Amino acid sequence: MSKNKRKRVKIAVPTQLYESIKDNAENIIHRGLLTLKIQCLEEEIQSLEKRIEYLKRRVRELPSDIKREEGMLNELIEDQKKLETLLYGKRGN
Amino acid sequence: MVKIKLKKNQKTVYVNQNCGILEIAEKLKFSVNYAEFVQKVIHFGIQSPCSEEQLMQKIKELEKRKKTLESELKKIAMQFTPLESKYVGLRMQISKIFNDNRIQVFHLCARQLPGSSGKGNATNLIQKYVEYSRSLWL
Repeated sequence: MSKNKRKRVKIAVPTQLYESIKDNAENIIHRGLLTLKIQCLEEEIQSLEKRIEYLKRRVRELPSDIKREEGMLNELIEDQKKLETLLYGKRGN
Repeated sequence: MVKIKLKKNQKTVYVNQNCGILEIAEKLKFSVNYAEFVQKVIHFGIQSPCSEEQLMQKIKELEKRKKTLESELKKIAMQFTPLESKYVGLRMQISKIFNDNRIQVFHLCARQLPGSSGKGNATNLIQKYVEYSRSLWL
């Protein structure tokens, strides 16, 4: 069946429910689906907002974190040099 | 958790209800892969105080908002990614050098120290790395 061709579908609805909606079923179902889509979009938006908020916070924090880590790395490199000197003597000797 | 495919933009969404539906939404350009979902959809339809036009309008607004947020996310991700890579790279480098230094310190502990001039330095380093290792083990 081609994508554009309309397909007739059967919907399993409990009798009692069917009786209550049968006069306006299409409209009710359409509105239901639209409401559902709204809920989904709202959830997606909320999740995007949370992600953006997290990334913004990290972008603010990362420069100072990097600076701190660079300081630590330099300290470790200094230690490494000292240890090499202590263990193997000065290079070139 | 029910998985629903929205055919129009090929998005997949997850919905908490487990009610009844067959492929009701085909002509409304929705493709739902879970038959029992129909009751929930009907419930939404009955409960909704808005008209179809109002709902469509709301969807348009939300889609617009979503697009704006997606573009904002893309921009912020472009700032975040290089910073995060640099940070992770530094952490890995630190971890490697720290472990190398720790091993060197153990070598230092295991051998007789040369001359008294190096003793202070060696003691400080041994203390630093051994103390840290001890804190890891305890």
